[in-house]
Amino acid sequence: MEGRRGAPTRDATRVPGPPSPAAPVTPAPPDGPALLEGFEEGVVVCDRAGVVRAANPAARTLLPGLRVGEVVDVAHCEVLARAVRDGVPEGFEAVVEHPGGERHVRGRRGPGLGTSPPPPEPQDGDSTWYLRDVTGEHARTDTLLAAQERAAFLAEAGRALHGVLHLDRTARRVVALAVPRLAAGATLVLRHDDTVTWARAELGGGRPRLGRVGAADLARVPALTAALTGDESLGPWLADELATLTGLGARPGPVRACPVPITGVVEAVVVLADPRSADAPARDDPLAAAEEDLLTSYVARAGTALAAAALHEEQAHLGAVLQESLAAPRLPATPGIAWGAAYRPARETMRVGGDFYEVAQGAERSAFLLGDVCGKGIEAAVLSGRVRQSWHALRLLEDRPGRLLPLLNTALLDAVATRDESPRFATMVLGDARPVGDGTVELRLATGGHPPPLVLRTTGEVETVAVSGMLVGGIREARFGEAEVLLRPGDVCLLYSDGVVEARGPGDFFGEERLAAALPRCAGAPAAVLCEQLEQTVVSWLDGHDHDDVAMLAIQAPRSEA
Amino acid sequence: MTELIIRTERTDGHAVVTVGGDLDYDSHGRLDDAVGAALDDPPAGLVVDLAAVTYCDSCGLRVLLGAHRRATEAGATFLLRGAQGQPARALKLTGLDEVFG
Repeated sequence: MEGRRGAPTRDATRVPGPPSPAAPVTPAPPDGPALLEGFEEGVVVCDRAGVVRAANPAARTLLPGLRVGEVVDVAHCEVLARAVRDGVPEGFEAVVEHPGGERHVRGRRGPGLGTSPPPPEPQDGDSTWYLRDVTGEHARTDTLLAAQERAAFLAEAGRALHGVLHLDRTARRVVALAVPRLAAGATLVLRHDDTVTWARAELGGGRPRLGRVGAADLARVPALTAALTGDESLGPWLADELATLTGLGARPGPVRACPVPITGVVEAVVVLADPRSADAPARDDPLAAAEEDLLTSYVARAGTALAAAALHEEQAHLGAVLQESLAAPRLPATPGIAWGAAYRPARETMRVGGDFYEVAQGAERSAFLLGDVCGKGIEAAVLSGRVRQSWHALRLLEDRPGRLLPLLNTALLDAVATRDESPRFATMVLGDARPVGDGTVELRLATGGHPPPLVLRTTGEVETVAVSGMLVGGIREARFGEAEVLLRPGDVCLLYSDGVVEARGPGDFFGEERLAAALPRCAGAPAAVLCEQLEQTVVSWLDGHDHDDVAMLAIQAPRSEA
Repeated sequence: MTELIIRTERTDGHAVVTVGGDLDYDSHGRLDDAVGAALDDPPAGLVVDLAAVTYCDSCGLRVLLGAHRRATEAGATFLLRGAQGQPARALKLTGLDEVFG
């Protein structure tokens, strides 16, 4: 197609050159047989001396200046000239200057036109060359290669950024990837909570640098702050502001702000120095448009990675804080009362379980609570936190367990109702213990939906405290049972979560019966030892199987020192 | 662990959700979805049959409580039936057997 460009009319521009001795003398057609005129491929026939004996219009379009009767010289096409003169090679590719720009011309040696159709007096030693314009092909190949290169860059960026889940490391990688492919320098500015983190990579600058400033420092860099929120209009000041923010020298040359699209969590902008993609790419320039697309894709990938890392850090932090605040509390050393506890959260839930217990020592009465919320992980942690805090607050106002539990029920229901949450409830035993003075301890208990406490007497006798109630925080009109228990020296009252009796070994649940059967062996043992032994018993029952949370709290009237 | 199996049937304007297996932390969401689907086109009554349920933890109870609430809101009666063994004990322990009548 390209070969047709130019004048199909023959020889309008032909300038007669000096006659060559071997030049054909046939007057017409001057350039070759009519048959060749319509060829899309350029055809050139040269004699041994390199004189063009025939050239069809396509050939003349491809190699402007080629004249029949003249020697193919370097000015026309160096490779062709050499190929004709030396007889090699069989084919070539050459870049030919055209008035409209460069064209790629591919030539191959033809079989000679010795027979049909006859060129003007074919002679021994003639060589025939077929020429084709491959500029379009080249452009397509170049486009393809460039597209592949861009895809490879993005794939590499994706790989490098995927799963880093560490904000600083992600920030460093984001800028490191941008240089040199996208720009000579890249600075990422990231606002996360009250902190501004920047990372900068520069051509030949080694490992990306990273620094932090307070969010208040953003007041000194209004253009950057605007860019952080997606406003790129203040570009001209960016370079200076970056220098101010990072304390690193400003790089001369154009800069370009690319706000990173992230929802929530963090705000970020990548500022490119000497970007390959200018601010406003020409619409009709496909290469520039592709570069712009590349930049957009890269920034989007950076955004995803940064958001994931920020979210992950936030969650890890949240988990750590929750774990800290929800870790099983230390048991107090209460005069006249011995406490024991065991806590074994279910596996794989960030060690934050749905079971909980609390002990609050008081001057006369010490309050305690053991419960279980539905669910696991963060959700359970939040709910159990709500239960614990409510309990801590409400027991200051109402210490009678039978009254405290309905209050707690209402508080939890209200908290759920105001948030339109699905039902969230807890089961629990709560109560208080008062050392009477003769070595006995008086317990007041109330339960809501929880396995009833067991009492182990020093004789080995096991009693189930006859108390029951509905779950807490699930039903507004719930009823709760209460009971009183007197512990004589050495007696233990055991509160436990259903994880104990629902521990599933190879065959069956551990069950109330096995628990009751395991207790007498611990008769008279200190509360702490009892809990430890029971936990071991449950663990051996599980025999390596997964389990729900397991929590136990034992309240004991200590044996007299005597 | 026994996999949770759920089957929903509609007869005489009642939706009967028959559940089997372990209704626990890992599986309770599926029953929640099934209940939601059954209530999409509100039946006169929602029946949840637990006869084949082998284990029900607090998450399972939560779904049942939620099903009761949603059915009532949708103007449907709610009936829980068939619970045996551990699920029956769990319902009794938490007082939900009284709530569901």
